[in-house]
Amino acid sequence: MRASIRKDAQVQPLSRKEGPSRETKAKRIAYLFVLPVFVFFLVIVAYPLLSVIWDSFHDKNLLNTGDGSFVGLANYVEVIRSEYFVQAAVNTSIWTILSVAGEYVLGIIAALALAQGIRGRAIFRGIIIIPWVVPVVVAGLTWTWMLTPDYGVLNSWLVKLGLLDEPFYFLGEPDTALLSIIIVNIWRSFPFYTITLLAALQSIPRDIYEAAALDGIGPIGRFFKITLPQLKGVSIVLVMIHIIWTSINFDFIWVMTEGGPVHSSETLPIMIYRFAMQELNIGLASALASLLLAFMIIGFMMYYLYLNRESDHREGM
Amino acid sequence: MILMKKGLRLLMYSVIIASLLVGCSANEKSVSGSEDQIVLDFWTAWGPDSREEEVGLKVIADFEKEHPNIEVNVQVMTFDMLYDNIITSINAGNAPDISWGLGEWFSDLNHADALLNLTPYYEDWEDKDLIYDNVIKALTVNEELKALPNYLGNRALLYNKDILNEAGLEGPPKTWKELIAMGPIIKEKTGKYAFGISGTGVRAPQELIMYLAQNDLQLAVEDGSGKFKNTWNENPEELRRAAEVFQFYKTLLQDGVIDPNGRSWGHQEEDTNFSLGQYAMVINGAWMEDTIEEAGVVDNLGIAPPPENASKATYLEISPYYIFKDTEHPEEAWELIKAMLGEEYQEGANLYKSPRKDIKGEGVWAEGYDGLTEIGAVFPQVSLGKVTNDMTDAVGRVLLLEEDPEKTASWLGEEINKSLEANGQLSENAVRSE
Repeated sequence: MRASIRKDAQVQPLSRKEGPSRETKAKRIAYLFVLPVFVFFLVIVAYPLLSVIWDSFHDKNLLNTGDGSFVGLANYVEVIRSEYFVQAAVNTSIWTILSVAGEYVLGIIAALALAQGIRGRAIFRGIIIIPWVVPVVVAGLTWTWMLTPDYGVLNSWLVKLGLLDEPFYFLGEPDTALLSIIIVNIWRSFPFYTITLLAALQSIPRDIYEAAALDGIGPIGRFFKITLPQLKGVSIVLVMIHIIWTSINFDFIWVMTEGGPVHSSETLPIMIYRFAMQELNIGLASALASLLLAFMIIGFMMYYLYLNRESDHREGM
Repeated sequence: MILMKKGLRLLMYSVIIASLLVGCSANEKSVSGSEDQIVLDFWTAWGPDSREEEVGLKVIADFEKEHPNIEVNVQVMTFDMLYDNIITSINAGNAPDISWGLGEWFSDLNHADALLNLTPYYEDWEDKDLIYDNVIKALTVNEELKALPNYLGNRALLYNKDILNEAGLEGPPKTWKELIAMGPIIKEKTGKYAFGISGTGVRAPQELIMYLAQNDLQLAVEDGSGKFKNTWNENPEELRRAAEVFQFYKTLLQDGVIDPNGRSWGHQEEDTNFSLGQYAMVINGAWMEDTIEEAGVVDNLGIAPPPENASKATYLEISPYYIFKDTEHPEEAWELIKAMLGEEYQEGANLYKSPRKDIKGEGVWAEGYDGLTEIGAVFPQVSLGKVTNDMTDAVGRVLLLEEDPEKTASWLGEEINKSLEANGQLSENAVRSE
């Protein structure tokens, strides 16, 4: 059918006087409307991204000591050989995995609780969003003060309750700094999971639960056999988005510890900032940023391939 | 009709392109008033509601009245933001005319060739003899004056008289040994720690350079040709003295002289806890005047020179005003700097920390800090971004990771040379410290 239309079009070419067809005009207008977005994409996303990749292969320093010459993979080698690179990569993984896992677990627990027909449910649903709407800097500074050993309220409570003999500097000790920030990050981010999962929970048909209950499946069984599978789609999107957001997060850690003490809470984005704005070495910062981008792309490609294989496997069945 | 449509289309394309170009165009400096009106961009890090902000705004308002053709556009931000903004604006070719900043940035900004040579203006300045010579020397590179001092953050030993009296001590320590010996006594008699240090943030390297200077050590030695080198690892005696400095930190912790939580204190915790009487002594600057007065403990305050070891030394923080090379109004910028170094601002905001010899104030603050400028050690004129981070790490390695002091000293020496090499400032010659 399509071939015959094309053939007709060739047989009866449009004359110049008739001008472009309605479809062509519509396409042109569409392109015109897309043009500003495309230009902004080029200027705001594509150009900076390509600049970073370009700079990562060049000797570039904000103090002008770099001559801008091509240095091949030298910046990448220097970044990987950097004393704190491995620790920062491990910290980034710990930070991302524990944060996302904690947020998901707490988020789903809160969502399940708020899905129950308890009195004052609407108020609780409103209150639970508060941590998420507090600006990161405000939340970070407030928690920093609360965790301070000398005048922090949390230390005071822990000592009064007898859980600590004396105040402890959670953010000042290499063993506890990163974990403390992760807990604060979970506190701040879990409401986003809660409201998203709560919306998904409400879309699960009640009759599935009723049928399962009639079949003698208990609440825990219903959770694992009905609720979790029904939430799978939303959960995957949530977790994927948060893996990206969390792994590139800079502000929370910077506000609370600046990556310290002694680099114990330093993640790759903090390291990028140090290279760029403290050592003023844009070549190294760009190389590390490109590496981080590559890690993310590889991770998501692997996940995409896994999903495709799963899909093929199901279709094969 | 077709022409009309084409015209309209052309107009629409033009509007879109024009709006994009306008949106992406450089932000030209705003010029208010007449065409002869000059706008000076002045970036500063005044604290909110601080005396320096109050007096500074008044001096600037008076300056604008005296110079009706000049408008000063003041932008206040934190020091961190100030540094980031200065560095990025220099690279974008859009630096302000003048900025206040930290002394640690001096070498970076000079290295970036961003600073105006102030020598011709300074030579003609009638008040030039009022500024301390060693301060001017520290801001001079290759016989070109590249900044002027706003204030001098000399460090002295502040001590709480009540705590020392309660511990039965007659006065503050004069040496490291005396300080260490006082620690257990004060803890036993008062339940408080004797001393406070800063293990993180900007103040950690400032304190470390002072202790190094008290042990006759320099971070990097100039070879006479503008290149530098850390010589600790080439000279066993220097390495021993550097290790002794880190051992001093370790002993402060092990002997209970400092609060174990104080290992990770920044300047805020250090200042606040001292002013609240949580511990007895701290090495600090005259800016503590406001904090001490607010806490109402000025009567308990004593000020003495920092305890010495091999030498008497303190850290001389020179907080400069920078005039940037790309300014279109160097004369007007210089006039504004002169106003900020005038008696009104210096007496109002920097009474006890003025770089002017004729402004010293009276009382405990003036007497306590008198004579310290002459024994002040400054950072070498090298790019300090990585060096100061490494210095903070070195303190953390000893106090938090319990690393061997000699290993830490050796590591720091190596890292300083790596940083010098990365910035093209490492001397290949065999240099010796004085």
